[in-house]
Amino acid sequence: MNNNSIMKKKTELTYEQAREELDTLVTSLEQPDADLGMISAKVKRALELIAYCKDYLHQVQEDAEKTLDSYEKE
Amino acid sequence: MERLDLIDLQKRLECVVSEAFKEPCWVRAEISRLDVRNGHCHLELVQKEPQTDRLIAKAQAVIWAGVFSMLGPFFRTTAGMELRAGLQVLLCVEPRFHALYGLSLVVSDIDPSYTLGGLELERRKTLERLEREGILNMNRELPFPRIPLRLAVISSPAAAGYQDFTDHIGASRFGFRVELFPALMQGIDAPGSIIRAMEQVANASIPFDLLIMIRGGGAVADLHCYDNYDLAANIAQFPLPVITGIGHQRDTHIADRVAAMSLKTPTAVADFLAGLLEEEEDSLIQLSHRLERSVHNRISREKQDLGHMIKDIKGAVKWLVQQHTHTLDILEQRIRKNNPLALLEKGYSLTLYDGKTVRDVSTLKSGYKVHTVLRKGAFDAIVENVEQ
Repeated sequence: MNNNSIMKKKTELTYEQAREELDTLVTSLEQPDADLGMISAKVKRALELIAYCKDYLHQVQEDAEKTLDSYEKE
Repeated sequence: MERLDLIDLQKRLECVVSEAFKEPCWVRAEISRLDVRNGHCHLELVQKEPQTDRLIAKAQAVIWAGVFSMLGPFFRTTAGMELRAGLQVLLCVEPRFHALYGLSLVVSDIDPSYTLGGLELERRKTLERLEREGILNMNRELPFPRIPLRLAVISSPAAAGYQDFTDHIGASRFGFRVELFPALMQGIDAPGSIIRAMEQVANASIPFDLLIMIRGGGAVADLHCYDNYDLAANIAQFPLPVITGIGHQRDTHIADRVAAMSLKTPTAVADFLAGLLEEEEDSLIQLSHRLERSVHNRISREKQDLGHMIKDIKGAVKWLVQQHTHTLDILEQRIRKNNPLALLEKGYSLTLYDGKTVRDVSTLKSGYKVHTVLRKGAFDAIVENVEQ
C-alpha cells in the first residue's frame, strides 16, 4: 500500500523535483522586491511542498523499517 | 688268520657291541625316515656335514611299541609336533647287534627340548635370511585398506576355526564377501598347499582387499610348517596385506612375523575386521557432525552480521530522514519569516511606489502617488509631506 502510494506520488512529483521547486520559491520570497500579488500563492505552494516532502520522508523511513524488520524476523 | 662261519662273526660283533655299550647313551641325529608298523616305530637316523649337507653317518633305530605308546604322545605334547622325518632329535639309545638284522639302535627315551632348540635356531636363521633378502617387512609395509570387505580366506573348509570366522563375520552388520581357498593347514605338506592356494588368490579374476589365513580347533598340532621359509617368503611378498589367525598356544611363528597382522584366533580376526569397519563408520558420523556444526555456526554468525547490518541501515535511513526534515524545517521557518501577509494580518500595512515596496522615505517626494495594501483591500494616496 505504502509502496504504491509512494510510487504514485513519484510519478506526480519526485522528492528532488519538490525540493528544487521549494528552494526556488523560498529564494524568490526572500527577494526584497518580490511580486506581492504572487506572495500568497507562493507561500501556500511552499508550505504544501514542505508537507509533501515531510510526508514523503516519513513514508521512506516507515517503509525501510518495515522491510528491514521482515528480514530480521527470518 | 682265522676262518669263521658268518654266524660266529656276527655273534662276536654282537658281543663287542654289547661290551662297548654296557650303558645306554644319548645320541644326536636327524630322522631321515620314519615308519610305524604294528605299533613299532622304525627310524632311519642320519648325520650330514653342516656346510655341504653330505651324508656322513647313517643308522637304523627302533622304538618298540611298548615304549612308543608313551614316547609318541610325550613328544607330541611337549614339542607341539609329531615325531617325523626331518627333525633333529636327541635319543637315548642302546646299540644292539643282531646276527640276522645287523646293527640297530633301540630307543628308550627322547629329549624334546633338543628338537625345539634346533627348530628355534632354524627359525632364527630363516628370519635372518628373510631380512638379508630385504623381504621381511614387505607385507607389513603394504597400505592397509580402510574398508576391507572382499576377503580371500585360506583355510581347511572343515576346520572349526573357519566356521567360527564365517559365523562372526556373518553376525556383523557389514557386507563382507568371503571366498574360501581350501588348503592343508598343518603338517609338512601345509606350506606347499598354502602356497598353491595363495597363487589362486593372486590370479583370481575378482580383486580382494585382504588375504586371511586361518586354522584352529582340534588337538595340539604340528605348526612347524608356519616357520617354513618358502611359506614365509610367499606371505612377505604377497601383493595384498595378509592376516594370520593360526590359533597356536605357543610363541608366534615366522608366518605371523612377516604377515601384515597376526591375531591369536580366527574369531579374533573376524572381530578385528568388524571393529575396523565400525571405527570407520564412527569416524564418518563424527565428520558429518562436525560438518553440520561448522555450517550451523557459520550460518548463525552470518545471520548475526546481517542483523547488525539491518540495524546499521535503519540508523542510516533515520539519520538521512532527520537531515532532510531539518532542512525542511529551516526552509519552513524562512518562508514564515518572509511572509509579508502575516504582518498585514497583525494590522501593519505595506506601501508600494511604482510597484516596489517603500522602505525609505527618501525615495518619495511630495505629489507621488503610492499604493497601500492592508489586510483587507488597498487604497491609493498622494504624498503630501515627507519627514526625514
